[in-house]
Amino acid sequence: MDFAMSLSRASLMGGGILLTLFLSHLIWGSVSIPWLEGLMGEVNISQDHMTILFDVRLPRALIALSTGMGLSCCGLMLQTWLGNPLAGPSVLGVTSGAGMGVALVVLAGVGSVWWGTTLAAFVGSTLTLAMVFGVSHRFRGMASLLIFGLMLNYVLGALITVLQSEADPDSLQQFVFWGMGTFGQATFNVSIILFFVILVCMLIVWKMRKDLDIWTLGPLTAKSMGVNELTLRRQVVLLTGMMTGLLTAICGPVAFLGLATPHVVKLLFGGRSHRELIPLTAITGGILALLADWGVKGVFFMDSGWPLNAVLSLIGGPMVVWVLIKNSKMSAA
Amino acid sequence: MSSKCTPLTFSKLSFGYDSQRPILQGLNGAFGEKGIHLIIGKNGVGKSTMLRVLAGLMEPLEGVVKIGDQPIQCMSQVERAQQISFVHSLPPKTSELSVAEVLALVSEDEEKNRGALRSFGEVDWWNQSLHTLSDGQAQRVMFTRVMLQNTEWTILDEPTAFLDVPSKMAFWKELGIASVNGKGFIIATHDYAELSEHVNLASVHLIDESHWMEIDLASNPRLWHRQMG
Repeated sequence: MDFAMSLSRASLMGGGILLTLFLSHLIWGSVSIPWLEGLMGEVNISQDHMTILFDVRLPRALIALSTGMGLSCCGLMLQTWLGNPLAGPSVLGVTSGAGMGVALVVLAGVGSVWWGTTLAAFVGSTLTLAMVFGVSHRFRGMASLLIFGLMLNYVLGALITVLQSEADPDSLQQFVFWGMGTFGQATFNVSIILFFVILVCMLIVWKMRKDLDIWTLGPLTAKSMGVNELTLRRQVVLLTGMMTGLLTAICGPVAFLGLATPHVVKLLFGGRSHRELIPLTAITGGILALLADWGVKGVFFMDSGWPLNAVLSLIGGPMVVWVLIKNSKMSAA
Repeated sequence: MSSKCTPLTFSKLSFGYDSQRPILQGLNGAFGEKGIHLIIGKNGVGKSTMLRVLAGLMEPLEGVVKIGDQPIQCMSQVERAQQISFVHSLPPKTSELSVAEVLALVSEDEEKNRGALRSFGEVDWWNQSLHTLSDGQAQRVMFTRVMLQNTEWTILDEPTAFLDVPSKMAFWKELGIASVNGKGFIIATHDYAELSEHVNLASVHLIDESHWMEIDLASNPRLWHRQMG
C-alpha cells in the first residue's frame, strides 16, 4: 500500500510543479505586467495587459500543457503496444504523416482554416500509424522498426519538399513557420478546444489502463487473458492519430516529447503499471513542455530564446542514446 | 477419471499459415474428461500451432473448435478467457509489472494470489519486476496466473522447458491436484515420460505429418517416442 501512497505523493508534487510552471507562464513574459502593484491598488492593470494575458499567454501555456500531456501519452501507448522503448510519434513517422496532411492543405493553397489543416493532419497521422502497425509484426528487434520509421520520415520529408518546390511564396512562408514548431500560434478559442479534446482522449487512455497492462505480457498471453487485440489496436491508432494530428496541426512537428517523457517517469518514479504511468506521464509531459517553452521564450539571463524543436532535441537526443545503452546492457546481462 | 467436464471438441480442423499448404487438415477429436491430456510429437510437426488454434488465439483455416455446444470462434475474447486459458513456452519477460501487479490483473485478493504462487515454490521476489526474474521464476508466475484465471480448460505449450527440477516437480504436483478438482489440461511436452510417472494421464495423443492418433495409455511411455516414427 506504500506504493499507492508514493503514487499520490508523486502526483501531488508533480501537480504542484505543473501548476507553478503554468502560472509562471501567465505572470512573466516579454512585456512586464505590474501584477503585484495592481493587486495592491497602486496602479491599474490596463486592458492591453488583460489582452496579453488572455489572448497570448493563456493560449500559449494551454497549448504547451496539452502538447506535453498528449504527445507523452501517445509515446507511452506506442511503447506499450509495440513493446519497444524507443517508440514515439515523431520517431515512427506519425508526426511526419501529420505534416504531410498539413502540407497538402497549406501548400496546395486549399486554404488555411485551422480545422482544415487539423483534419488533414489527423488523417495523415492515423494513416501513417496504421501503416506502421501493419508492418510492425514483420520486424524482429527494436532497431528494425525504428529504421522503418526513419525511412518513413525521409520519404514523407521528401514528398513535402517536392510540394514546397511547387508552392507559392505566401503559403510556403506559412508552412516554413509552422514547421519550426511553436506553442505560441493559437487563439484563445482554439487552445481551449484543444485542451478539452486532449483531456477527453486521456480519459479514454486511462480507461484502457488494464488492457495496456495485460498487453505488456505479450500478444498471445494477453489475448488468452481476454484482451481483444483488434479493439485495443484500433483504440491506440485512433487516439494516437487524433492527439498527434491535432497537436501537430497546431504546434508544428514537435520532436522527442512523446519518446522521452515515459522514460523520465520510469527513471524518477519507477512507475510500472499504467495506473501509475498514465497520470505521471501526463503530468511530467506537461512539466517538460512548459519548461521547454521557457527555453523558447528565453529565460531571464538570455535575451532571446531558441526554437522549440532545438530545445526539445537537445533534451531528447541524449535521452535516446541513454535508453539504447541501458537496454543493450540489460539484454547483455 | 470418469467424471465429465464440458468437453472440448474439434471437427474438420485444418490449420497453418498458408491456406494452400495447411500443416494438418481434417482433424476430428474430443477431450471429453477432466484431467491431463498429453499431446506428443516431433519438433516442428505443428503442436504449438494446433494448441493456439484450440485456445482460440489463432483462426483455423477450416473447421471448428467447441467447448460444449459453443464454437470458441463465436465467443468474445472475454468470454473465451473465462473458459480457456493458455500458457506459452516462453515466459513474458518483457513486462515491467511486478509479480504482485501481474497476478492482480486476474484476481484482486492479494493473500490468495501470494498463496497460489507459493504452491509452486518460494516467493521472495513477490515485488520484483517480471523482466528481472529468471525464465523459470517468470514461468511460475504464469502458472499461478492460469490457476487464478480458474478456467475449465487450460492449454500449456512446453510449459516446463525453463524450469529447474524442484519447480518441475511442484508444477506437476499442482497440475495433478487441479486435474482431480475438475479442471482439464491439454499439454504439449517432451518431458512426457517423466510426467507420466508423477500424474495420472487422461489421454495421450500423437501428432505427426499426417495423423492425429490416440496412444494406448497402457503402453510404456518410454516407448512412445518409437511411435513418432
